[in-house]
Amino acid sequence: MPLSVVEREAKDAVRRQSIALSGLYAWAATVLYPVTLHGASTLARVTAGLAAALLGAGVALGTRPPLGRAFGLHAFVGASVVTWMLLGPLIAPDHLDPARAALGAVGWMLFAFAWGAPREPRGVPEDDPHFVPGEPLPPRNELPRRASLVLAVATAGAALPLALAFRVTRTYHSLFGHAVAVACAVALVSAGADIAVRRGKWVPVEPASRRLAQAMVPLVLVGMILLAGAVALVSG
Amino acid sequence: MRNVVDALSIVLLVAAAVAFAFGVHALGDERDLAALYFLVTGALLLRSATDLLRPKLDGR
Repeated sequence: MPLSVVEREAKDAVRRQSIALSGLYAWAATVLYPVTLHGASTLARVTAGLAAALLGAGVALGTRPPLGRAFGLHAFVGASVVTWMLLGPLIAPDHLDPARAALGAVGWMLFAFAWGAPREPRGVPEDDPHFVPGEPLPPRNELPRRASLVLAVATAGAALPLALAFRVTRTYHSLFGHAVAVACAVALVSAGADIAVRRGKWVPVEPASRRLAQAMVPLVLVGMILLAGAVALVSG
Repeated sequence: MRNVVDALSIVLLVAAAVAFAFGVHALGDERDLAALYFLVTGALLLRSATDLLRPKLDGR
């Protein structure tokens, strides 16, 4: 059932309040607090104030029009980033309180969620003013069988190296460890998604033994490297 | 046979994920050579899994 005008206005008001509250909280926790510290430049304090003013202007202009979004989202975040850049060493990691930083991160997450546009619980596509009536378009294709399983395996596998990278504590290796973990995760998810989603567009290779043949080179290399590892393990 | 190859490709994908995890774990234990070994093994296992699961492109 389409929403009435009053319901739309009420939802818009709630959304604007959510943006204002979450944005104000994120700004207070991560922008206002550091500019009140001793050593913060005047310019940083000005840009921090400007950020708050831009947030207020964006909320006042509304969430739908482009101007409200430009002020309340892009300009507000931009002014906050400029403030952080001007603060320099005052917000270096060794100066940050972990609890305050975590709360600030939560504030920015809530701000991002508030700006998001999830589907309304009772909303239907026909509510959109740009809705074009007509027959629904049928999907051109369906996901192949077991696509979700392949993608779930790849995604779960990608999470492992990302979590284990935090064990690398050596100064120069820690960044490398995270970079390697991200590369591994991206490779796993990309391969998993490619296999899971695009299989339906391809002609299956029959007989199955031909699939073994097309993967022969990497399989032989895997066999060789596993053999080398076993020899190294046995020889100590 | 087809199901066996499908299962093998899934096993290789899981093995690649495990090898990557072992590689990053070894890096955390300061065993750099072992880390390199596992990461290369993981890359090859992933390539094998992809080549096994990837059916031939239409028209090729």
